Amino acid sequence: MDAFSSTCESCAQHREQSLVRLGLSPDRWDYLVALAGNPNVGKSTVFNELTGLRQHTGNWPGKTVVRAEGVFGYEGKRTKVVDLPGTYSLQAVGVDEEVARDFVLFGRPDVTVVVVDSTRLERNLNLVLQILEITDRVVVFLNLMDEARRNGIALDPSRLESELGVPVVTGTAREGIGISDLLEAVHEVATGRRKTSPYRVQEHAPDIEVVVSELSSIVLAAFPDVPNTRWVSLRLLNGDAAVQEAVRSGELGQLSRDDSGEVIRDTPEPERARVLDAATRLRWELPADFQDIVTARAYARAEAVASHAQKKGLVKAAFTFDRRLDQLLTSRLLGFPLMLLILGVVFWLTIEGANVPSSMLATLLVDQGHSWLKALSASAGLPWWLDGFMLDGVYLATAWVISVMLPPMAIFFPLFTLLEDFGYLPRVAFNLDSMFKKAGAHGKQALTMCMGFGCNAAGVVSTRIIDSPRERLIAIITNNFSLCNGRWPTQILVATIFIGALAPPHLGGVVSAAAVVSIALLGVLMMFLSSWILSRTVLRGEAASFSLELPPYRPPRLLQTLYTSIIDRTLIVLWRAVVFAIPAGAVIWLISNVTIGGGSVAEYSVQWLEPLGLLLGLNGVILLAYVVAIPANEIVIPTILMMTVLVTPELADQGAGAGVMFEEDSLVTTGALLHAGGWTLLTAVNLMLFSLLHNPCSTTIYTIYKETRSIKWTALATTLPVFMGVIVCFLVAQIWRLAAV
Amino acid sequence: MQLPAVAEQAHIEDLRLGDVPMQQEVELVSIDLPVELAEPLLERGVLPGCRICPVQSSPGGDPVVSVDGSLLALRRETADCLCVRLVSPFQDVG
Repeated sequence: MDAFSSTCESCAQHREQSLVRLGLSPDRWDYLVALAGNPNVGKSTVFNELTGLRQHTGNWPGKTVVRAEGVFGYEGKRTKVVDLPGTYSLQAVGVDEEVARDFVLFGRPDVTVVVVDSTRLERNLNLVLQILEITDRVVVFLNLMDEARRNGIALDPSRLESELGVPVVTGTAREGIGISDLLEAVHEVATGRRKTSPYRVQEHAPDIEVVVSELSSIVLAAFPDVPNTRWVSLRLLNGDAAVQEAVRSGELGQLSRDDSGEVIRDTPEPERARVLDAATRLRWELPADFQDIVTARAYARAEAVASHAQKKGLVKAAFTFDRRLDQLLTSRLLGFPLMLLILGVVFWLTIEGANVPSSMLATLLVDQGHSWLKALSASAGLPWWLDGFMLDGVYLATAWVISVMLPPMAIFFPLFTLLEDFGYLPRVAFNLDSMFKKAGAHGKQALTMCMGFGCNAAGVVSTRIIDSPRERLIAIITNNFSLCNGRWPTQILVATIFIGALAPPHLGGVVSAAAVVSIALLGVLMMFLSSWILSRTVLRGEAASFSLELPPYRPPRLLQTLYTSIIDRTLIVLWRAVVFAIPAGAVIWLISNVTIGGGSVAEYSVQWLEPLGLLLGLNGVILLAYVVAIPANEIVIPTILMMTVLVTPELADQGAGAGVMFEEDSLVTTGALLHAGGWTLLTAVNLMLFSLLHNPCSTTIYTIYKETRSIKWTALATTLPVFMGVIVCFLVAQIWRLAAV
Repeated sequence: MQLPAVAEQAHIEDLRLGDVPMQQEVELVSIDLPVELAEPLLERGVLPGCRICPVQSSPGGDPVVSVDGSLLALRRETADCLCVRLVSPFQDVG
């Protein structure tokens, strides 16, 4: 193989590798398009208009849990579109900025489409100019032209096009206007039919310019094919770790390769080191406030370009409806009550609405599906252990998780997304910010906390919206105090059997509901308390300034919300839970069926844990259930029931067999079973407390590790709640017993 | 961040956005914050020279300001770091 073709191959291969690293599946496409833009500019709408339903979601940073990618065909070419997270800039401060920047730089998209809010051109141009510094293959889409018109803003796209040096297309994506022009422009840039000459900073302030040009010529000597040496130099002078690494590894040189098969020389190591040394040396020659100066200039440029291309104030801007709604939703008097009401309705709809489908799924999967599979395996003559392990262990645990988890999530996440789409959630963060400020936390933690009521793993991922690292860690560590969907069923069941039963029958429902709500509110209290403690101990620091855009209220798009929230949030969370429930089901079956000297492992473990359990006002069965059910909170109750039967001799003839989870047939029989297992009111109260205050499920722990990349913080997030739970349960048990004497 | 061209004026006119009454439009002179804290504000259109107007306050007393055609929620502490000056209330009409 000659040198020529091997270079070409390694080049294509190299790009594939960096795309895989960025989370993209290496399937076939002709062109790769990245979609960038500020938050709230209708980027997702443009994405949906381009790809229709030919999109799927991968597990990678983005607005929600995931990043979306899709494919469309245009003039016989397959084009892949990647929806980047919405960011105001590419200066990598937050996770989202880093993700977007890395993709534009290292993913080498054939075209980067920047979606721009026409009503806020200055601010949006800042991002456009930053992207133009990195790549010259850009198309600008001026979206929301209808809103601009309504707000009395006139734009001159051809002027903007000549200032920016890249195609500018106007439109209103929500109504599908301008999409075909956008496709045409993307195609022309991708095929190279249309050459661009992007606006780049030609001249910095004099004392900075000297340094930048010097470093720039050193970069150019080492990497002769890099087109944006001035930008690279500036990033190196800023100490940008990703760009430094790209120089160190030589990847920077690879970035300029195209698919033409042109031979590009690899930069030898000494030259790369020289670039880095020069950057370190030259940094000392810069004025101390050089970042301020560069930033101020960048904004001035964006403003100048914008002022040439738009005329404002044609009609008096009218935001009266929004203002009035805001005065209501964030008012001193009604802000909080309305918020509690709205969130209360969401939770109520989730719990009430999930009842019927949950029991239908349980009947289908647990009752009928399980016995049908049992019959099948009996007729196939499977050995008892294989049949037990697979069907009673693995299958039942999975079936349980699906039937308990799927319906509430399929209701909660779309409702939550609708509120987000409408623009209410930023107002919630705003209302609650003063309380979070006192706890040393970030106002947006209110949103991640709400998300946690759906699923803590999803809540942890959603902390990406918090751009300050300290506050983000606080939000991650305390997310588990939001009582997640998986724990509500335990709370409701135990409250109904033990607490509701204390009240007269007609009040039973209300009393048990009140008990569950108190537990959830206690969780919120513990969240504030532990945020406060964290921000005064291990996560000490200044409260970051908080600024949050309150986007205009927009009518939510029902169908699209339903589709994306089910795909993005529900199915991914469910999938993770199922993956973790499978081994749990296996373990539960095994410990109940593997016997040592006459007793099963489960029985020994329960006996061993019993003293500790009693000390905490619980019992050995509950503790063991929490150990084996760490993968998913949903299976705690079935595990407890199963093991109570296993270790209580007088109940030996009940249930479906050792290690077989079964459905609580009715509240009465479940109650009788638990009473026979020695349960008291104290056990019930402490189980409710412990269900709130214990380690996160393994899905969440894994997610925390993925988000923090730190064993230390993962360990803290795991142990802090269980530590609090042990203390609270212990204290309650002691006081209870003292009071009872 | 003290933007160089206007830094001196900030000392003379020590009016902060936090002291401005509701519905009173003012002009931003400078941002008295380190660059990493000022950056998110700049990105959201809070630029020296821009018109800014407090429009309402949160249940906890933090302001919402209208800037560059959109609403931005700030903390009181942040508002106190924004040096502003009064402009004639009728200047921007029409």
